[in-house]
Amino acid sequence: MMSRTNLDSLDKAYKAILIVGFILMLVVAAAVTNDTATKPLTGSQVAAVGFIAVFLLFLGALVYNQFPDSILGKPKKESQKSEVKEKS
Amino acid sequence: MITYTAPMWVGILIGFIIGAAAEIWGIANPETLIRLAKWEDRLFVICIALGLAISAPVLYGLYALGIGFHFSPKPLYVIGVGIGGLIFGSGLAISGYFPGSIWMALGEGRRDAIYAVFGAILGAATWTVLYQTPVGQWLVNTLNFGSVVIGGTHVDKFIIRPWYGTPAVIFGISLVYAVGLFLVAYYLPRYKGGVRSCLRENIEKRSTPYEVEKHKETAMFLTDGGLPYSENSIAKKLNEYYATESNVTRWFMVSVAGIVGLTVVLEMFLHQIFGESTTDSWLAGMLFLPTFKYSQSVFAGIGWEPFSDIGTLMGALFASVFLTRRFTSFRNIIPPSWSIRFGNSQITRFLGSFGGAYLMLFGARMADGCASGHILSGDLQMAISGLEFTAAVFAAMLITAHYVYRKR
Repeated sequence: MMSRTNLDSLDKAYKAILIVGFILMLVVAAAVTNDTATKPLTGSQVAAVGFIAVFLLFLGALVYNQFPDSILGKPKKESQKSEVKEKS
Repeated sequence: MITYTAPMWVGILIGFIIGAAAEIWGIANPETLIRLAKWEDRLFVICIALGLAISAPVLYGLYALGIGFHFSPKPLYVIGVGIGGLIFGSGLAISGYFPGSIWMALGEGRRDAIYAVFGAILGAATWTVLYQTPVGQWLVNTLNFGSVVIGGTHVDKFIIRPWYGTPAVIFGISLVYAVGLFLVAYYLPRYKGGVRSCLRENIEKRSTPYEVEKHKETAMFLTDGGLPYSENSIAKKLNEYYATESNVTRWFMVSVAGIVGLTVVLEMFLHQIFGESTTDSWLAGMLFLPTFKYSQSVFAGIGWEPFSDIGTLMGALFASVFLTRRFTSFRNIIPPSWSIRFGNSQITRFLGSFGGAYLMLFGARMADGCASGHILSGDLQMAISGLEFTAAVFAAMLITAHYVYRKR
């Protein structure tokens, strides 16, 4: 398991990539459709934009798999411990 | 009449707003919709009723003032819409997904949404094949009354011709419609066994101990498998808003409904209605059935749906990473209602998610719309087909959930 500081850095880096990726997605969408308003979308136009979304999602899964599995914002093991304490 | 048509890429932004709002609201989590089907948590009904109550008069008020919208009430072919709605409702109860919420769940990193995507495309493909047969044609042509809304008929892209008088009459009808919906939103208790709706809870500033317990249970399944967050974070306020002092956050949760409804009104001014299931037919056509008659009509008529679906996914991804921290990284998270009834097996969940989504999309395409095209956009326009579809979906959803999730 990575340290808390490393996880925070990873989180910040991914968030920055996500913002840049989304802006890139809008730019690509405008470029491949020539800013058209009425022409039906084609497979290649949608694929160009969709690939960016799939990449960002895949990267997100890789990054956040390093984080502890949580519930109500607390790692599950920690959360179970505090529940036991509360009961006792 | 003032009209405007926005470029296709704007659809990504519209989908983004709706995806983010609905993720915060909890719709991306299939447990939310399974609990709706079990009639245990009526948040969806309350928020949709409130959203429609706010946005329908805005839509027809602006129309009466001379603003043109890209109206698109779905045609009222009574048998196809009714049967499609029944099949859709059954699939919804089994999978816990709407076509749009599948994209949101993918953005939230939910593993069973991947199964649902494939089931959905196959369901859409099945309708594509059936459409050009005599059965398919009978379903869409029998008792077809065209595109009608309460008080008017859709005669042109920007025109709904009132049955009596001027567009102001339809605006008047929309006010009565809004009052009815507002009463539902105000008086329907959110939780089974509770006494107040979320709207009433905020106005009266109190809830029963039972309702607080149910809120806590809701927050637990919404955040299960998500990311850690700190005590003072926005995620804590959004997920556990019932327990925080911040009234802004509490009101935000209720106002999500208004945000979604008004975004659809904006979308109708800019380009088209909000719809999510056409993309599945478009994908099925592109991947396997390009020469089929239905695929050809989808290719010719597709608007910005594929872009708004991608935007929906991105909005949910942003919300689950930046705001709610519910991104589950495709971990094995099974909805509690499902695991209580069927256990934690990935295979049974695959069958439920894939099979339910298959039924849902088959029904949606048969009815020419889904929760977005019929229930949200259709009911917002007061389309009679949307109201029929909504009634059929709720009837089938409640009956299916009663039998599927009943205790052994």
